[in-house]
Amino acid sequence: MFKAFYKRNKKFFKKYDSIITNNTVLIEGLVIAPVIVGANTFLNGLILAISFMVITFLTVFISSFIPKSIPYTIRVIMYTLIASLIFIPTAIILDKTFPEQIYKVGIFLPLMVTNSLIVTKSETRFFRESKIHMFLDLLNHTIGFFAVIIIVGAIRETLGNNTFMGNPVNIPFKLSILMLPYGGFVLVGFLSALIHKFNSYLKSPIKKEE
Amino acid sequence: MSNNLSGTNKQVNILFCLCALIIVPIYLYGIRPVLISLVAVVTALICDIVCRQIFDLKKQKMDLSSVITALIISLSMSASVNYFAVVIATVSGILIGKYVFGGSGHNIFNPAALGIAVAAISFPENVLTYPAVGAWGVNANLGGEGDIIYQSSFASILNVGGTPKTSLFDIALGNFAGPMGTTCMLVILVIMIYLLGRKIIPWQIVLTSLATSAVFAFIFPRLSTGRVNSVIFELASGIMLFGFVFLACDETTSPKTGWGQVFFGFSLALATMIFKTVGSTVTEVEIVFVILLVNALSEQFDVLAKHLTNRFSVLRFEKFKKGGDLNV
Repeated sequence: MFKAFYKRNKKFFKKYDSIITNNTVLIEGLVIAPVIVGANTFLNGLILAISFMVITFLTVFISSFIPKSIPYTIRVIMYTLIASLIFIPTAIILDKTFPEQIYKVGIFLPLMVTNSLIVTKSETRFFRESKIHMFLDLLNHTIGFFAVIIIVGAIRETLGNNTFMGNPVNIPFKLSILMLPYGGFVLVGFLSALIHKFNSYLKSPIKKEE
Repeated sequence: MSNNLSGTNKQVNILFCLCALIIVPIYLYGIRPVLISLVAVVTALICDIVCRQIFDLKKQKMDLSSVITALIISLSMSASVNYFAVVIATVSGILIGKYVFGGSGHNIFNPAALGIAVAAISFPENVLTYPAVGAWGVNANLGGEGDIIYQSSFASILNVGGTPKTSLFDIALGNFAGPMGTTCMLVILVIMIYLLGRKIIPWQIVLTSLATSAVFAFIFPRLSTGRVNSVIFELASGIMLFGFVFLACDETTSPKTGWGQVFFGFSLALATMIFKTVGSTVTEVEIVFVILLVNALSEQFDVLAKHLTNRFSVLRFEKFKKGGDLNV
């Protein structure tokens, strides 16, 4: 029934495909490093998610006003400079909101300044759309990333460290390997396989009974 | 003696050798090694059935690779290991090491090595602590609980600069603390000679890795009682010899050309000895991490071998091709 509903309203769902069916991390394979290495706890994931949303959204929005007459190479450098300027207050606010926590995400917080949505996708996708559509598309991409990184962080912290947001969780086993990048790769791989399977289900022909 | 044993025939021979290896830990630790192996094998078979459904793969006739993986994993574990750790190791090895890449014959990494690595990192206090030989049956029950007397293994003693106080006779018979199926050097050597003689495992990998590790241990001894002792204890520590015979020689993940196998064996042994010398954390099973690394480079070793044999005709001997005769 859901498949039939999806096929009937495919044009509507396509606007929001970056959240699930064309997810930024799991399908497009963008911004994977912070998810796999940085997000080994829920709080780390939350910090990276918030910083990604704020930096990417504001940078791409402001960068969309840079004239296209400026050479591409210079434009990309300007995008990164804008992102760096937005990073500074973002990092300060996050430090005040999550004291002693932002140092745990290491280099992945400042690395959000050069994420592929700002450096590449802005030119190939976002700036070719109207401002309203760009706004919506950006929001979908950032929501998709947010969802994935906090899910991955939560699962890794719960099963790999038997804690959640620093509080102990009563689970009879502990898979410490989930706290390492190997665990992140495997988890993201399986989540990606799940979304691919869901996409195959949506694309498959509808049986008469459905 | 046939030079070209079929894949199933080779698997049957390796399975037979692994089953023969289980006999020694039964003598040393009681019935628990059998239970651990059974848990691993049953987990592997269930994994096979479930994964074939999930990944939509057809059942291959007489494919014993999962059972072999399970036995290798169980024999590399401590006799006091938790059953849960064995299950996790087997599931990781077979699901992630084998089926994610497309099933038997398509995997890049050795599934058993991956399973052991996952278990060693996830449960180090369980997998890497070894009960004293003979003390197990007296003080502990089959569930793995009880008053177990643990003993330091060769690898941990060598790592802190000590010298194991074990006689050559005890080393040959496996009468010292270590992974349950990998301590009996005599049985492993006999199995190695049998498998080499039947051309089931490539001599290039085994002999090169043995020679490299022996030379390294001779030149850079970690103990003060002589270089020959250093060679013996280094080869007897952890799962070195067992790893060279059963893990490194996996047909799917090792190089296919003769010289490629030589480079593979050399790199494996050299990296393992360096890990042993400068590493500090996972002292028993560093060979599995090195095997995972060199598995990724298997194809490149073959490419290198091809370039060298094309460039230097003196290397282009028939005997160095896979399956070739040792005699000129």
